[in-house]
Amino acid sequence: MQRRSFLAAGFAATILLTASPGQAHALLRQADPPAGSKQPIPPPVVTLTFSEAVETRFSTIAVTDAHGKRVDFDTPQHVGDDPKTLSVPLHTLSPGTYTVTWHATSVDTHKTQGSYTFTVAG
Amino acid sequence: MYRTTALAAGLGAALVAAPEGARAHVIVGPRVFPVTLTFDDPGTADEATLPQVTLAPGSDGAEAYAVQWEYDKTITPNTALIYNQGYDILSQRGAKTRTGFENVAITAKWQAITDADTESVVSLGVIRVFAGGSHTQAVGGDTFGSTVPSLYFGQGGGFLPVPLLRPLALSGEINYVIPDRRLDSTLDNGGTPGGWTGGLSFQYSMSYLQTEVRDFGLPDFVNRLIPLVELTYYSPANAPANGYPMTLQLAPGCIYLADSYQVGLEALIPLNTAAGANVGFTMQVHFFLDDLFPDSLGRPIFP
Repeated sequence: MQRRSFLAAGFAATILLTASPGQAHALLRQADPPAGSKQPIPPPVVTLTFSEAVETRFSTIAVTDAHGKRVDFDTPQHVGDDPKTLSVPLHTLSPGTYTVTWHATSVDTHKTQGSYTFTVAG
Repeated sequence: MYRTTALAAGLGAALVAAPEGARAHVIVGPRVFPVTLTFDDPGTADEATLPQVTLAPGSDGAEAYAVQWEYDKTITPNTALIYNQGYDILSQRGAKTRTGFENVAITAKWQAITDADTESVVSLGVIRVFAGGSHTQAVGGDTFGSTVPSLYFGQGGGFLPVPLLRPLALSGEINYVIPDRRLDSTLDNGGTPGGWTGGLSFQYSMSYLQTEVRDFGLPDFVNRLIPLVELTYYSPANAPANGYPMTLQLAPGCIYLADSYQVGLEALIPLNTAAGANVGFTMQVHFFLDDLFPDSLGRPIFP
């Protein structure tokens, strides 16, 4: 038992010391506008921040109005040099509820997806 | 698989249900099904538990400790082999402490259905529990093996009409234990009756709440929590089943889900006498090898 416990503890230490940092599933950590928020003025962009670096070429963000019409334009890009972000510009939004649907591919090819809504106040 | 552990001599019919050991997490669309602590989760992945520690106090000063470990290895992206084992210490005032390794269990698992849009996942598996020696028997394990066909499932609550309920999720496992030596009518052949085991969990993902429903501006630590309640059970399949009563256990707790590991803590509350006499605890540290080593240990053997 003591030997196996020692081996288990050593394996755990090895994991922590030799693991590759920054390579994992890209889970959404922060959104702007935030999920479920009510925006007093129409936001000009949607920015998503993930737990890991994402590939802009293999990631998408679609922002649609209540009728399903796209209100974003251009392909998602990083914000500055931050590889953990994706951002798309928006047309001027009218008051109403909008849905953000995203698909992200991390740099180690793990795929994640999600969606949320926000509201622009009238 | 749900394994009952006999406490040290003098406890009579009191049994303690020991968790089988933690398992993998699975991501289905926006839903992360974490590793549950008392039964397996519904998917396949490259992961490891190092360790899971359980304390299960019995009556009359008896205590059972278990240290368990586990390693999951994907063969293809949707199939995996899983190794589980543990070491038990059973102590009681006035009696000699008994120690021994649990039966080794190897699971072959196939993640058969994964639907990101409905947040649904179903896996099928077969667990082979290998025969143990005298030390295994000393801590309530079996000197013969068993084969356990298993079904695993997970369902996220993203479809629910009430937004604040959407972070809820359900996961479960159903097993049928087929012992190599089935208890016969003499009740004296050293066998067991086999039976149904399984678990069910109700989870609430704070991360799902923040990113899919409504961001309340809570601290990051809170947004990584998954409060949950697990329920595990065992019931003998066929008569005779003397000495193998139905057991039912509730395990409320919380999981902290980091990017490449998780830590979980749950109380173990027996819901009937056969499941134990007192409240115990289980704590688990689990590593996501597919996130830590995506180019080596974390990749399927056949991608």
